[in-house]
Amino acid sequence: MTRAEPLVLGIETSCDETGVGIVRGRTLLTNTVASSMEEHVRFGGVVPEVASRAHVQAIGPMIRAALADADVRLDDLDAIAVTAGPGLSGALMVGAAAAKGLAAATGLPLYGINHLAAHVAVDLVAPDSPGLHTPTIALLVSGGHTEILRIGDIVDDIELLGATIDDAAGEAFDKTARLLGLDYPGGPSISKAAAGLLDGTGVPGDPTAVRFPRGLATKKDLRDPERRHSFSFSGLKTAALRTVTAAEAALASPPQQTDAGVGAPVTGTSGPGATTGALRLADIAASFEEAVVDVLVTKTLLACADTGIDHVLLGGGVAANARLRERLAARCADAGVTLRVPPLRLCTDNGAMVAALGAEIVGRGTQPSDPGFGVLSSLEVEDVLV
Amino acid sequence: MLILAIDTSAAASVALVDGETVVAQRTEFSARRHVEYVGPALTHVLEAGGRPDAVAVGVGPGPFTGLRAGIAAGIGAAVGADVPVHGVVSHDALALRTLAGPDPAADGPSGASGSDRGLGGPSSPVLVATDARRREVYTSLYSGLDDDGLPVVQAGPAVLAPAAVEDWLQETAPGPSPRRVGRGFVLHREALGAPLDEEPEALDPTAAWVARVAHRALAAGRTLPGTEPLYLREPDAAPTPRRSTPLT
Repeated sequence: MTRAEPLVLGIETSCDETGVGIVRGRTLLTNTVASSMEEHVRFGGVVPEVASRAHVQAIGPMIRAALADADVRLDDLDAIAVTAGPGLSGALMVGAAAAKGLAAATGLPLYGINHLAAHVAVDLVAPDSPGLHTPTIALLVSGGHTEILRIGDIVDDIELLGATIDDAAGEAFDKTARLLGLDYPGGPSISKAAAGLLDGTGVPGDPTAVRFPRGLATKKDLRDPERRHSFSFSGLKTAALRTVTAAEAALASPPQQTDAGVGAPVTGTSGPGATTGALRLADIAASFEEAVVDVLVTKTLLACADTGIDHVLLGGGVAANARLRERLAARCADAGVTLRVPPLRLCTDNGAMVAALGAEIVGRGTQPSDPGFGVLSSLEVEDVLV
Repeated sequence: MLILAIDTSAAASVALVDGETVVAQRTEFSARRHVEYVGPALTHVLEAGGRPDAVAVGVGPGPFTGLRAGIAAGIGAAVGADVPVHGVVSHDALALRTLAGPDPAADGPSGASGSDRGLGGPSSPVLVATDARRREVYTSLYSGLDDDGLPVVQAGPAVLAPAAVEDWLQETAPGPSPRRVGRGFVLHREALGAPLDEEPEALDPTAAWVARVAHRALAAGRTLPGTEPLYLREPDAAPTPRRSTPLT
């Protein structure tokens, strides 16, 4: 089937968002999302079983709501697309099974597609977008992903340049937020703390107060093609633990605590809001955020330089981080690289991105997936369609 | 009434049933890949019979991930066919099969082979036990069929260690020794005793019997439960207490 403007319904359930989107060609008709985020707060992170339980409750109402919101009848649809991976296996299965039921009952072709490619493809339908610019480097950062991709073509030419070898950036934010006694999700909490909004001072923390390690960013790492574009946040997490432990110990016995053990000073440069030389929570938060952002931005621009591509697309939930957007924009501007950040509701997980990629694949006349396809929690990014 | 039924609480099973008569069915016993199976199976049975009037899904109890695959597929199919979707307790399907007597047309040639089913008739109790993994069983006790021909739950469903089933029976429903039905009795033969029947159709709930339960309930004007799975266990996750720090 080849159509100029295929009408496609997309389903996304790879993590904690139950998303259903509908697009007509490159026009976004609806982006309907239910999140189970609140249910994960007491666990301090996404619990796969809790997410899966929420998906199976939400999936029917979300599909109906999306059809109603877009004012589309099932008879009008040309195809269904669903995230087949990567993501949480049990969560993916709910969306894939619902999509198979929907496809079987309607006779519509079903496309099992790649979540990471969809994060990029969303710019095909973003209302404020001139269209997906290729080639582009894509930086995808969320609670589950930290990847740098080279996108030559959204369907036929995607290459993984680097990814995290341990925690995702969003996960590092969550764990460190918890260490600092802050709420899940950690990213927004750390940003607020770094801005001095949580301690009543309104005085931003000092991002240079603690020199946190930048993972896989030594000269040796950067010479290694396997590590040059990759990320590691576990060392940063450990350093944060040591810094917080030392700072807490320093508070307990204030006078002569000198050694933090990791070269991280327990006394920070005193901001105007600091009454003593003690490290503020805002300083730790700001320094931590700076370390994450610095390595994300640096490696993204390395990827640009290495590939000669002068365009960057930012996606994933961590795109909400203002510091990341500012630093990335500044460094891109310095390097003559164009930065594109889709609207935030299209950066977080959603069904519209799945529908957008589905519509692009349908539009090219590609055959649908075998109805017997399964979900793949670690689906490779090169596999845009299963 | 044409009912499309799906049960993935143990087997992966899809059926299109007209009243009590199976139009088409596909079942894979000992299924491990429920999501993969359900797409082609749905297409197969729907091609045989056209648009259903309702969808019925087995809501378990059963291992969660596989169970949800069938429920989600049923929800999707119901939206696609623009018909209501109902939940059926999966144990009801095994109980009805035992109490009403297996229909050869329902189970196909393999189900028609002679074994001593139907002992005791529709009014003697039936104990269903299915695999709950982690060395436990999901179990339900049925006392017989009611006036609408539907199995009457006397106790359960519960999730229990096999060794605890006998005490649970004595506490909740002391009475004559029930007929034993379901794969739980195969997996825990020593603790629970052998099942009445070891045909696959007698061990795992099948969609054909889920459809018959739904048909009998709807025909009698009764309301079936929604599609929420019967989990019987909380998610394996401990809430993380908020950490307090003296840092400000």
